[in-house]
Amino acid sequence: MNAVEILFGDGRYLFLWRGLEVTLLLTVFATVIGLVIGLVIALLQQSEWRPLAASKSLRLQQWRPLAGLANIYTTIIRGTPALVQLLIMYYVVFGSYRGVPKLWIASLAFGINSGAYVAEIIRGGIESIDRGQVEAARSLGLSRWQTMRYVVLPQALKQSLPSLISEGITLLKETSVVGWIGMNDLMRGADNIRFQTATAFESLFAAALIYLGLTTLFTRVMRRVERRLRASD
Amino acid sequence: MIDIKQLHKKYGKNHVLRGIDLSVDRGEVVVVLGSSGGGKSTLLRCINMIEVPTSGRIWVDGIEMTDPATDLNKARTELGMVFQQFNLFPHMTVLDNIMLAPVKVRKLTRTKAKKIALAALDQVGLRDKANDYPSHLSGGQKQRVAIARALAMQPQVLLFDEPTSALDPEMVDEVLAVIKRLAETGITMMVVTHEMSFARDVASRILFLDGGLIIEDGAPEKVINHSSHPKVQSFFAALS
Repeated sequence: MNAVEILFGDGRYLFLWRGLEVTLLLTVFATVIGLVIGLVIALLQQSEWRPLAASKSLRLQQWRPLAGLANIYTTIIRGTPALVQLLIMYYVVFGSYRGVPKLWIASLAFGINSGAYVAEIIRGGIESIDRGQVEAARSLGLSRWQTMRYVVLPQALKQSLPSLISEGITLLKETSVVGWIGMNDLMRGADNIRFQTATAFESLFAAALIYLGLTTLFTRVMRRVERRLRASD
Repeated sequence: MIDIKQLHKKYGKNHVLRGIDLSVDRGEVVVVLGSSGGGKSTLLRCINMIEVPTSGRIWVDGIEMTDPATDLNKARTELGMVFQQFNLFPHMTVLDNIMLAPVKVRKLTRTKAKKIALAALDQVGLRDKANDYPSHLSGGQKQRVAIARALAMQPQVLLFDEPTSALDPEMVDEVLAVIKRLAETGITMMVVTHEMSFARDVASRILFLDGGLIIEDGAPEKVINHSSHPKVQSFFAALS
């Protein structure tokens, strides 16, 4: 069999085509969930709520439970493999709910995973904003939240945008392990061709090329955004 | 208008303010002088609680800023502050910079806030820059916009923290002229500056800070020419 036969014979290209659809849908859903979670976590990290400020112990006075919770989340998520998180989500969390579509479960798992990285990116953005911006806003009477909402976050998100796109690219590649819960994504599609034809080279390189094409495309978008941002400074 | 009792501020071991007692009346224009590191900016920043005092009490217009029960966001609306580095919001137009606090804090309608913002821009002579972004302005223009932004909240007191120190020399005068005009409207002001001619012409009172204490306090003529304090004498001698 030549390469064309391997990839296109018996409609095998449909494995890749339908797999691509699954990969893209999963990436988009997970990215959106990750952005929402990441933003919330980044804001929790900034929380100055100190419920025990009246306590005698200096440690308890400084205790910020919301920030602490956010840090536990990012530590656990960033310290364990995405595949382990995916399998826990599928076999443990949703273990007894077999009616839930796998796409939802996987989107949630990868979204929660990505959220931790997004939070760190946005945190970096927030911390890069000059203290004078906060001082000016507070001196005008804006509350901490209003200062965050109208002054710090808009600038921080703009700063973070290239890194956030880069996180989306990482996520696209991360989703290639989703075959472990039996989803037919691009990687699994290539694998199916590999099984059917008993040839590894063509199917695997086809998958690699498609991934590369997608990441190249998104990297271009990122570079363009970076240039735009620099121009508007 | 402003009353300060035994204000102390420490940063770790660094004791920046060592017991400031001060009372500023309505309509006074107080210029704060002193060598750098003397605590001038810290004093100003403690008044609106951007810097939290280590100990001591501060009242502004009868409201105790240092009382934990005080709504600081509300209290700060009566204290406009102008910073050395301008601190304009770079992602907003000049007009939006000025309208932000009137709309979000004073809860004015956008129409009303815009009217106030444009009037404030008139006061600093920059109405034609309303729709520009800060990055398109010169340093002097940025500082005048920052002054307009503080004015738009119609505060009782204006605090100027070295408003001309970050400016190119040729832009200092346009900013000082604006501050001088404001001083003539009778608003209460405290100005930290190194501009001696401004202190001489505009101040109704000069404070001299050294080592975290007010070591001289009085009319400009008295502080500049007739101080009995050797540190104050040598400070002005070095300038002339």
